[in-house]
Amino acid sequence: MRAETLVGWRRTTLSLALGCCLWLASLAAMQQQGKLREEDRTRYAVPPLSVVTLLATDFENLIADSYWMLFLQLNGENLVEEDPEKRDFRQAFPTLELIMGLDPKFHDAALFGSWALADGERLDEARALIRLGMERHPQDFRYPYQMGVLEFLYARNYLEAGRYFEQASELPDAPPGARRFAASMYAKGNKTDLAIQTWLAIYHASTDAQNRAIAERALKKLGVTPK
Amino acid sequence: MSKILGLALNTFRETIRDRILYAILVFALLMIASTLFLGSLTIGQDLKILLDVGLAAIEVFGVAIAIFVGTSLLHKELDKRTVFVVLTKPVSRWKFLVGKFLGLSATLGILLALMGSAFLALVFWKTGSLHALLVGALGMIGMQLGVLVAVSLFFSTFTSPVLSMILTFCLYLIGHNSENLHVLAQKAGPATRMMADVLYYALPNLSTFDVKNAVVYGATIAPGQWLWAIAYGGLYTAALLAAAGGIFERREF
Repeated sequence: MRAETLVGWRRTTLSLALGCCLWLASLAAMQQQGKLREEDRTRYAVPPLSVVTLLATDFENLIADSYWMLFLQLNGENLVEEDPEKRDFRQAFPTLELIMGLDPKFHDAALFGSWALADGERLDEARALIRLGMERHPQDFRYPYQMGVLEFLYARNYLEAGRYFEQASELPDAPPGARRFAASMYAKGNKTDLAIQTWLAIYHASTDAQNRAIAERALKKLGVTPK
Repeated sequence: MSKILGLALNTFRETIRDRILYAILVFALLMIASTLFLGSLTIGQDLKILLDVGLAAIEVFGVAIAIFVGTSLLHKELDKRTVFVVLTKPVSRWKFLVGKFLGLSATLGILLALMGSAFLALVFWKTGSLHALLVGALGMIGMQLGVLVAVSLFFSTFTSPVLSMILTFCLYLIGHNSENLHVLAQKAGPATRMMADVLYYALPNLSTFDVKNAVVYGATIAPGQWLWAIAYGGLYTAALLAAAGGIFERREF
């Protein structure tokens, strides 16, 4: 092939790239002017994980980041939308599931995403997302802890919340408050025996005076004086 | 050796003057700089975005240069007939190829150093420290680019530049998916499995050089893994250059 042909070929490629940029810019401008239909503005393609993985050529993290930014831009608007009718979280779960599949260590996507889903009245999807994280990272306390928070705040299922907080407290690096939360949840869920048992465990395991005092106070409220 | 170095120096001078390199370099630097803006669009993930996008940009633009320049290098010589002037001198064809490879590798090395320096400067500005793993990751991208230059030179010894470009790009895609293909083929029949095994070992496994994920999450990489990647890259490149030299020796002009 002659050098001129090669130069021509490069020019064609550059022209195509420039054309693509112009097309994207015009699309963005149209979107800005509200010329696109409402459903087009909030919809984007979420391909199956197996297809993306096959085509990712070791750029899984980068694709996960792109979907994370897309998720934040579009679902962030949903979170601040006052009118519940206008909230559209249909693509949130598939997007977060794809992100977690592409980049399993992207914990913030799962944890923050579960907040967004629960807030968008999609608690089952939030639970499914956290369960996915628990399966992939069984030693990470953040997932059962987050599940406990979701059960407490959104489902008001105190026993389940207590169970998850207790599960989190047994994992490495768990905050000392996890066990206390579990005990409080059991007490709130009228499971006095479980609450006493958990507070007693905290009381006996505590090495600092403050934690011990909190446990002692809670136990006295439940009618038990620790020995 | 001095002949090879002379050819390498000449190729380096020739490729470094190519204006398309500077266009790609500017795009790459813009892309790396854009990570600062992109990071602000996420919630507390700015460093992750900087590392992911920065390393990916360096790899993508490096691969683009390796393929674009690598596949046209030999054809320019043939097209301008300068190859005849060189080969009438007491220079064997394989030395000519090795010189070309070293020259382009040096150009890529400099571009990689420029892109890498901009990237490392941004990371240092953001975090106040630099992890040795980042330099290792850049080195692995360099190894991968070396293999791709050898692949593009290999194809350009017997095909047209456009076909060489397509074939090298396809091999780059396959090279990053060879693990997947190997796993999938294990579920197939014995004949397919055998064929897949042959392809798996014959085609380059470019995932060997991919440490981006480990770098982003600060995972430790065993010294053996680094050594294996370097040895694999070196041997694969040498084998490709030997095969390319063999084909080039037999080629009639």
